Order: sequence, then structure tokens, then C-alpha cells
Amino acid sequence: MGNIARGSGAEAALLPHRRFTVEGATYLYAAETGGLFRMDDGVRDALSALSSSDGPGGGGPSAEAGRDAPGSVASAGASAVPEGILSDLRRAGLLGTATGCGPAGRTAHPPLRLRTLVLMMTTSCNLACRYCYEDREEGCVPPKEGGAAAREMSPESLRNGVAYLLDHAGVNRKVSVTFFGGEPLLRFPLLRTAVGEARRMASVRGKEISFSITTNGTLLTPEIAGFLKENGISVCLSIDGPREIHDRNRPYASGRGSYEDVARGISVLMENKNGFPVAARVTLGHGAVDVRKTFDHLRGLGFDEVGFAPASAAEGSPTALTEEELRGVLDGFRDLADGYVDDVRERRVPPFSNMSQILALIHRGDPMPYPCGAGIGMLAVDPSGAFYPCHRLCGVSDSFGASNAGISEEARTRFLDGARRRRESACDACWAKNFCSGGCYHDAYLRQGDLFAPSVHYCRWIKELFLLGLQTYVRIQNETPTFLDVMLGERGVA
Amino acid sequence: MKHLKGINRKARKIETTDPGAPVVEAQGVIPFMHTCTSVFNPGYENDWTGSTKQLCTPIETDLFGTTDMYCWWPGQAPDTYNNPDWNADCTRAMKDWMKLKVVKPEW
Repeated sequence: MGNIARGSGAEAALLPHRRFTVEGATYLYAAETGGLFRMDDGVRDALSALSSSDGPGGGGPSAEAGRDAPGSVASAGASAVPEGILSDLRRAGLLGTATGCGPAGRTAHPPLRLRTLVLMMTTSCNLACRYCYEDREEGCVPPKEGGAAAREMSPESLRNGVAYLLDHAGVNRKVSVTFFGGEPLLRFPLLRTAVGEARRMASVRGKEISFSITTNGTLLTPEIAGFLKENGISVCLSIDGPREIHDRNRPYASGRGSYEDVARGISVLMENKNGFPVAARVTLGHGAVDVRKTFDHLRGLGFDEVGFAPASAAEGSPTALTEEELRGVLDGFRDLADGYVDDVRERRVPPFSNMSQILALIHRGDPMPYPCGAGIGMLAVDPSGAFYPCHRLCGVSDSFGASNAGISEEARTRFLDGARRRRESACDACWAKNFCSGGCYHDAYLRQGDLFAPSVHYCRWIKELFLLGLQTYVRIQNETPTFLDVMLGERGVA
Repeated sequence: MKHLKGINRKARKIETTDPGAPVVEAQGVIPFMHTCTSVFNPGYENDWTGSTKQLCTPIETDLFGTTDMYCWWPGQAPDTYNNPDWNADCTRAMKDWMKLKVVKPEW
């Protein structure tokens, strides 16, 4: 209950939205519809009049709270607004009622339609990153009574997992497998066999299969890089920046930094580029935050895309970013966003991948009832062959079942119910709900011990980030209106 | 819409949709989320005035809108791979619903 309904009965609420300014013009993002509009002065004045002075939607466009409507519509204010404007606001999804709208979970969850399977090849790793969420002693799956949990994936579990992916892809003709770990290249012999076998299994079933790997890069040799190139395997490499930043949080267990070995691996990889973009994945940990410097360094090393994510960490953990560091990250992102707009203007493919993702979400404007594809289009298989919603939740959430027996629809529904409850209660009145949908389950688990707790510790930060996304979107649309259709279409996300 | 100009794809879609017309979109494609009426589930009935105008998803729209499984009571519609023209003559469901084609398996 407590949900905000739109478009029915007496209009009593200004629904969640965000007003912002770009180059002197004012814009409006309506969370209920996902529509982004430029508004005229009439609408701007009307929104001020409609916001009650004491409700959460109160104040004018500049008021802090007014950005996070809903609030009640002041009746006196509403009567003063011309019908034409009210009608536009109604269509845009700004006006509705704040009455309850039935039980949460009123609609079925999307069916499982697998696109991506993440294979936890091993929970072992040759590095000892300070922010790693894996337990170095126990791996991702806590040992059961009477014996340690499997740490290495067996060929049989791998085969069962891939077969399940291919058989449950539904209408998706293209599926993808991600090799993950631990460090998946510790299992290169298995990986090499798996690629060939999975290809054969896919072709028998009339599916197209692609592969990607997330690696720390230290084990890359010319042989491995050659194999990745020949087989069109796209690579995401974890690296945190130049040596002094990288080595701070990504050492070997001995304490020695890993930068040198990673740099060697990267040069081998770049000599064997296979036409797929090579992505760098930067984890921002405490004491190692310099967005611009890191970005420039990684571009210099030849990466086509660079994406950043704050380290997931428990409250008070020494690797968690401080408030000040988070602000620094945003400043860095603002700087990169300017570069993104320049890249688009000059017809270069922009490498700042966080921004590309946000722009894709804004461009489509679809409501996002779940924060990610976990348990919907994506599953992970842990080394013992058990299914989990995603690689981070191996051993954390309830298992969905074993890869040789199929998944439990009941467990999957229970998981998605949790996500929906969060979305419909804690996040319902937030204008940014279509962007974050409550945030990463695993992050919530680490911070709050509950997969379905909203990631309140990131709320303000995420809203600032999405506001930057909205502003960047408008700048690009004003200058190069065809860019998003073309680029996002090519990337298969539009 | 005179006072708001659509910037993203979704806004332009809202902008160009005749507010009085039933929304006929993406049959055979399951949108990520598709609502029924959100104040009165399921929303096949009338609103309090006896009309359908104030329902979030009017009954005419349900013809297409509730054929996906996100709905409380999903309706059935032919799959558009094998029957691409089943609703070809029915551009406005409220007026043309009798022109929907009958689809039956060929065996």
C-alpha cells in the first residue's frame, strides 16, 4: 500500500519528478512515465503553484524538496492553473492520486528468459584485493557442516549450466556466457574446452552464443590472449588506475602490488585485440580515488571503455568510500561527462561507460521495476553447480536450485517479490526510481544485512549521478540528436 | 501538448499519442513492465462515473495491453510471428474490434 497511482479519480498528488535547467532552458523528468520534456514558463509556474507549501513536493523549482515530489496538490493552486497545462501534466505523468493501489506483487514477475549465465569458474584468486567481497579462506560459498564447499567448477557443472542457459533462453536467439571467479584464468584449461563445447551445444539448438571474461589480467599470456582473440571473447579487465592507485587496493597476498603484472597482461591483450571493445573496470576504494587521472591512464593503455564502481563494503569498513570521496567521484564524473559531450560532437565513441548506461536508460524511458537482470535474464552458477540470481549472491541469497535439476520457480519468485516490495514501498515516491530501483542487492546485504533493504547510503549520491545523466542527455540531444539512436542501437541496448 | 516538448523517446511517444485514442502498441513484444489500472485491480470495469475515461488503462486498451504476462489477468492474443495481420484492420480497437481476424491452428 501507499503506492502512488496515476491518472485516476480526483487528482491529489504531484507525482515524482525532477526539474532541472540546462543552458537556460528548464526540463522535467517524470518518473511515472519515464518521459523527459522541455517545459515552458507556464508549466514552471504551474508546478510551483501546484506544490503545496508544506508537503514534500513544496517549493519552487529551486527548492530541494520540490525535486523529489510527490506532494499534495494545493487545491487553491490547482484551480489557478490553466486547463491546457493541467492536461499536459496529466499526460506526462505528473498528476495522479496518492491512494493505495492494491497489494504489492499484483502482477506476475517476468518469466525467466535467460540471456546471460555467469560461470563461477573458481572462487580462488591469485590476488588479495582489500575490498574483495569473496572470503579468501572460504570462497563465495560458506562451507557446509562436515566439509568445505566446492571451490572449483567441475566440467559437468559447467556443461549442465550451459545446457540450462540454452534450453531456457526462450525466444532469445543470442545468449552469452561470462567467465567469472575468483580469477577465471586460473581455470584456463577448462575455459578453453568449455568454449568449444558450448559452441557445439548452441549450434545443435539453433542458438548463437558469445563469451566474455572478467579477469584481473595478471595471468594473461600470448597464448591465452591469442585464444581470446581467435574466439571473439570480450574482455573486461579489473584495474584501478596508475600504479600508485592500483597497488593500494589490489596487491598479492604477500602484499606486493600487482600493477606490473597487470600492465604486462594488458600489453599482450592489446596486441591481440579481436575487434570487441576492451573494457576496464575500476573499483573505487578508500584512499584510491582520482577519477580523471585513472581514466586518462587507462585510455592511454588502450582501453576502449572505462567504467567505475565504488567498492561494496560494510558500514565502517576501511575500504568504504567516505562522503568526501564520493563527492570527489561525482566531480570527476562531471568532468568526464563534459568530455563525453565533446566526444559525441566530434563523432568519437565515448569511452565513459557509466554515462553510456545512464543515457541508455533515459533514452528508452522504460520503467525499471527491478534494479538489474538478476533472476530475470541473468543467473550465476557457483562452483558446486548451484544457481543463484547473480555472481555476487552466490552463497548469500537462497539458491535457485542445481544446474542439473533446474531452478525452483518458488525461490525465484520469493527473490523477485523482495525486490518488488522494496521498489513499491521505500522507493515509490522517489524520482530516481527508474534508474536505481533500490540499488544492488549485494551492496544492501553488505551494508545492512538485508538483500532487499534500499541502498539509502547511496540515495543522495545516485540522485546526483542521475541528474548529471539527465543534463548530459539534454546537452547531447540539443547538439547531436541522432547520436543516441545510432550508438545505443549499435550497442544493442536501445 | 503545447506546454511540454518531448526530449527522450518515451516523451515523444506520449506527445504523439492522441490522448483520446486507445494505446495500440507493441503487440507480440512484451514490454518490461505494463500496468493494468493501478487503483482498481483488475481494471476491466468502469470508473466511478460509469465510463472508462478515467481508468488508467481503459477497457479498449486492454484488448492489446493485457495480453502480456505482467497483467493480473492476462488475456490471450495470437502470436504475431505466425499471425502478423490478426489485428491489421483494427487500428482503433474501440471502433474496429469486430474486424479482428479469427485465428485457428492449421491442423
